[in-house]
This record gives sequence, structure tokens and C-alpha cells, in this order.
Amino acid sequence: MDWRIKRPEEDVAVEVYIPKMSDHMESGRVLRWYFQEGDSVQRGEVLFEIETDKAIGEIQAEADGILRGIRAAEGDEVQVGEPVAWILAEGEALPAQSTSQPAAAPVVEPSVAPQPAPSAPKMNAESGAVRATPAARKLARELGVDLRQVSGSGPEGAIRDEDVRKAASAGAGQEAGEGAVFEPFTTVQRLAGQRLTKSVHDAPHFFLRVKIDAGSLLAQMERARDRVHALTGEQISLTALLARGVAFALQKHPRMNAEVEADGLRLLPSVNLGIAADTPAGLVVPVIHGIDRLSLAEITLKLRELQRKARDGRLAPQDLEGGSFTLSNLGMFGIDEFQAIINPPQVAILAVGKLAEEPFRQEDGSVGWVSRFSVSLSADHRAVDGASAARFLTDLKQILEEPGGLIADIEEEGSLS
Amino acid sequence: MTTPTRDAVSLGAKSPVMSSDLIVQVPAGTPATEKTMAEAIREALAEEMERDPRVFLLGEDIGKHGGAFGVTRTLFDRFGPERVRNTPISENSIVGAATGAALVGMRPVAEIMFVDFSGLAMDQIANQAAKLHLMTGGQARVPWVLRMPQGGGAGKSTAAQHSQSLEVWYAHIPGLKVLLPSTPYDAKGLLKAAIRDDNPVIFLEHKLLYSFKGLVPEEEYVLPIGKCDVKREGSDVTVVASGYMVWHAMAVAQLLEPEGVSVEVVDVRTVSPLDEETIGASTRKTGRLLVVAEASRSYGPTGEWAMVAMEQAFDYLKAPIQRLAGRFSPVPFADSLENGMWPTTADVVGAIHNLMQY
Repeated sequence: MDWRIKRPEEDVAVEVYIPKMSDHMESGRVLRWYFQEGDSVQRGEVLFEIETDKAIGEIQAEADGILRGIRAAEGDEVQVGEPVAWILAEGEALPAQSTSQPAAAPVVEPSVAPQPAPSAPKMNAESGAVRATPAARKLARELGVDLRQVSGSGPEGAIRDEDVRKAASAGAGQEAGEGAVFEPFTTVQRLAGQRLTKSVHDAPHFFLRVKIDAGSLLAQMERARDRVHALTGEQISLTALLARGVAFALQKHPRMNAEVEADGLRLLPSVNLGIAADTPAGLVVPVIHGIDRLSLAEITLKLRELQRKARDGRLAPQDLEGGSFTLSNLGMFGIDEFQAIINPPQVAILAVGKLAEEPFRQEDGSVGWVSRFSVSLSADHRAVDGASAARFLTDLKQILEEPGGLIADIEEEGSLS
Repeated sequence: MTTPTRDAVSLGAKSPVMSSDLIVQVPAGTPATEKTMAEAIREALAEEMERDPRVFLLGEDIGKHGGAFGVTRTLFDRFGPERVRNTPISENSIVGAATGAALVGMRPVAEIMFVDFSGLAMDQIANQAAKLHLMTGGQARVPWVLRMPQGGGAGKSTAAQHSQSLEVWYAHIPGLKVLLPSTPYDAKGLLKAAIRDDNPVIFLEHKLLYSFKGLVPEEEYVLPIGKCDVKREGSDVTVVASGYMVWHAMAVAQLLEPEGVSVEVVDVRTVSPLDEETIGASTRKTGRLLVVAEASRSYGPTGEWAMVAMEQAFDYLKAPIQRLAGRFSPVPFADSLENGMWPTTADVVGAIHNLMQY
């Protein structure tokens, strides 16, 4: 292995370090010196063999000179960055810091060897050949079991499918205890997992939280209840009002209602609000398309329809596509507040907590009670900055705390378009 | 392969006995009679000759004498010299005459006294009969059947030129169908199908099986060409075998049942075209495969079956496929040496034990 130390060129007293050969490497063991104290060495010659937790490598001389001050014997474990010897010019004395610790580990990168290394590296891992039956291999693929970690009970240690099954349940059992059952991901779970992992990885999330006073919202909901029921046959819900409030706020902040692309933001012409729902089959996010153009009655109807379809597993692909913003509510589970992962390529997601009675200081100094819930906005900093997101959240807060506009169409028209 | 003494040494008193009870193919209550395979073949010939006047027999000593193994006995008296025709010792002419007769609409059933002699007729078989249907664009048909005894057996001492199992000679030639029945029931049903088939069929009869008995239904039946027959269902090991080796497999399956090893036996009674689906399905079910044939190991049918299993069931294999086959050697005359030529029941037991290590 040819590891080159990137450090300033020095005429004298070149330190021989233990280089950092992998991200997680903290130390290395000197296995064997090829030179002795006082030997003259040439740049590129292998000075010693080193063993890390991953491999065995060789350390080459960075300069011509005399090897001096060897302070790690064969078998010694040495911290990354620590010098193990010096290469000196003829007649040069060992530097003073030969007894002190070096400041920092040098950065090391593997380089393409200009010429073959004196000897091929020995890898401590097996060549990768595993003795296993085809059935065991197939099962290992399906269960995500690494066959190199499985001990075989067949002839000559061959891994049987039974061994893989045991290893899979043992692997799961390390956390869950005896009798643990491995449950493979469904396709939906796997794809959702990939999407969200990518979101966490790619989108620089930041989080803003605000408390919403729900007093007026609840009062307006009661005012609209009978009218909505008369028009739709359905019960109005806080979710419907929240959804409408979010749609109104998004209309004022088009950059929040957008898709993040590699080199820009695609602002969308209408609000397609995804509403996360828990179903027997797991999380689904049905979308109310064009919610900014729907009346409260229509939103109520659409929401109930999607909720029923979600519960029965009858959501069509088009019910799940094209969301421009997502609303996620865990209030019904008693969650005070939470932060959600953005559903890419959307810009943001709003997480809603539970409604709770909270004390507050009234003007006369006495304690009063108010219904509040918390909303947390997760936003992608590539698309919006903190101030923009704060303005959105402030407007949303105002819409929800002064919610007359949310039920105005019920009050005025009261008819379905 | 082991020496024949292994049967006695390793299995001792448990050594399986070949008995007609091992393979029962006729449901209880169906009118049936126990017959030898020779009798079943004779019955098939007679029924087809009664049914179709185009069917006639030709071969060496098949007339009054009734054939070297007595299969055609009584047929000369019953159907006369026109339809049961003795020929000189002239294999090439026998097949050539059969091919000519078949081309003009007859349905000859020719007998070659030993499959070993069929080399003399190989051009007629492989280059003429097998290819005419294709080369004439389907205008010509060659509906003959070539019956040939084959195989060796302990104590028979028929030696190198009368003991071979040569099904792969013919299975290798496109245009030929190759059948190798293991029971009287199969022999009758398959021979009737062969006679009714419109192109050449090689019908191989294991000499040791001529005297094996089994129930044959009174009612007429015809078996399909091109299908394996699952002789016994099981869940742990699949044994794919043909001809006489099916009996070894069945005997061992019965022997191992009390040990808790469930053996499925697939009889390749049609050697060609090979029923790959059944071999694949059974191997996928059990995950463990033993292939057994009397034919020589090198380039033999067992290699073909194992490859089919690999293609069809690779991801299901729990163990390396085991192979038992005839030694790659001319068959020796001496009893002691001849007995070591072919897989024994002890070999089958050993191979299944190997499989069950996995």
C-alpha cells in the first residue's frame, strides 16, 4: 500500500508518522521494521509494516536520509499522527520535539503507486469466498444477512439456509432479545425510507416552532359546524381548518409552495396539500389538489373521502401524487410537538402537536387558561432562509388565530360550487 | 461407487428387497391383473395390432421363437407371418425396411435384439428416420417404433457387447423420442403411445425388468410421451432416476422413511424430450437432488438432469447435487466385476445421507 504523507517539504528532520489510513482509524500497530536505527534510507523505501483494524499496510520513507530515533518497537500500538522515528541528514541531531507530542495528525490520502510496492499487501480479511449453498445465498439476500458473519453447520463449515435463518433472528435478537422475529420491509416502506433518507441527507433542514392560540379557531369551527354538516353531511374538522389556513398562508408565500430542483426552485401554480395519515398499512400522504381554490365545504368533503380511502387502502396513485407541501398532525396521539422530515422535493413540512390547555398571564395579572397547539415548520435552507420561513409561520399564526376568513365562504354563500 | 459387498455390509438385514409392492400405479378397486413387463409389452403390441392393421412387427427371431427374451411369443400364431416378420441378422436393413414401410403409411414396430447392436443401424436411425420429417418440411412421417432391450444386471453376465445402457446415443439426436419404462404399467401405456406417434420412437426395455411384475389395468390406457412420472412424493430429497434405477430409488425411499427422511422419486420414463419442468419443480420443493442412472457417468443422462436442476432450481439448492451412474468402463464378464458396475441401493442410501448433511 502506498500512502503518501502530505506535509511541507523540509530539508531536515522528517518525521515518520503513523498516518490516518481510514476515517475511523485511531491507531496502528507497528508489525515489522525493515530498517534499523542508523540505517540510511531512500525516499519510497518501505520503512515498516503497519496493522490497522482493517488491513495491513506499509509506510514508506518520505525523504532520503538516516533513520534515527525509532521509538516504537515491533508490536507497539501507536496513535495516529504520532511520530515513530525521524529521517535525518548526515550528522544532524534529533529534533527537540522528539520527546513531545505532535500537534496534529497529518492528512493522508491513498495515491496511485508510481511503481509496484516491494511486496503485495496482506489483507487480513478472507478473499470473500464463502462456502454456502445456493438456497442459503438466496435467503441471505432476502433477509439482508452478511454471509461472512454466519457460521456454517454443514459439511466443512458450509452455510446452510437454516444457518442464515438463525443468524437473521439472532441479529435481530441482539436488540430485541430471544424469540425476536425478523420482519422485512415492504416495498412501500423501503421506498419511503429511501426518499426520507435522501431528504435528510440532501436537504439542509432547519426548524421553527410557534404556539397557536386555538381559542378563536375552535369558536369559528363551532359556528361553521351545522352549516358544513348541512352542506356536506360531514362533520367539520380542525384538520380541514388547519389545511385551509396553511393553503391561505402558502398563497402569500409562493416560495414555500415549490419544488427544489438541482439548480433552482420551481414555484407551483396551485397548492396541492399533502396530509399525512396513519393507516393499518402504515404512513400514507394523500393530497388535496388545488386546495387554494376549494371552499371549506369542499375541503371537508375531500378530506373525509381521502381519509376513508386511506383507512380502507383504496387510495389511487393520483391521490398520492403531486403534493407541494405537507401537513403532519400527531396531536391525536397526544404528542406535544415534533419535527418532521421534509417530503422531497417539497420545500417544507408543518408538524402539528396536540391541543392543550395552558395558563397565561392576563392583563390584570391573574392567570387565565387558553387552548394552544404547537406547529413546527421544517424547511429546506436551500430554498428559503430563516426570515422567510419565519414570515410564513407568522402569517399562518395570524390566519389561524384570526380565522374569520377560513369560514367566510360558509357564512356568505353556503353553497357548493 | 462402491463394491457390491457394501449392500450387505452397510445395510445388512435392512437391505431392501425388490418387490412389486414398491410401485403401485393402479388405484385400488380398478380391475387389474398382475403381469410381467414382458407380458405388458406383448399386450400393448397385440392391442395395437388389433386396433390398427398398419401395425406390424419385424426383427430377429421374433416369429415362432417369440424373440430372444420371449416378448413376442404367441403373436406369430395370432397375427401370422405377414404381420410378425422374421428378418435375417441385418440391423441396418431392419431399420431401413421399417423406415421405408413407415414412409408409405405403415406403422412398423422393429426389434433389435440388443441395443448394443443398434450401432449397425445408426445411419438409418440417426441420419434418415430422425431427419426425414424435418427435411421434407413435414411432408414425410416416419411412424416406426424401435424396441431394444438394454442394460446389464448382476449374474446375467452378458458382458461388454450385450449390457450397455445407450439411451443418450438416441437422446442426443433431435427428431427421435426416447422412452425407458420402469414398470409393466408404464411399458404398456408408453408403447401404445409410441406406436400411435407419427415419428420415430426409440423404446428401450431393461432386460432385468422383463420379469418384474406389476398391476396392469384391464381397461385400455395410453400414457403421455414427454412427461416424467413422480413415482413417490416426498419433501426432503428428490431422486431423479430412470429404468432399473427407479426400483433402487423406491426401495431406498421406503427404507429411509422410518428414519424420517422423506424421499421423492421422479422417474424419467421419457428420456427425450426431457420433462424439465417436473425435475425443476421437485428440486425446488425438496432442495436436495440425487440423480441416478445405469448409463455411463461420462456425458450421461445424470449430468443432463443435474444441469436442468441447476437451471431451474439453483436458488433452492440446499446441498451439492449427488450423482450415481454406471462406471465409465466396458462391462466385464466376471460376476464379481460386473456387480461393481452400477449403483446399488447402498450407494443410493449413502448419497441421500450426504445430501441430508446439509
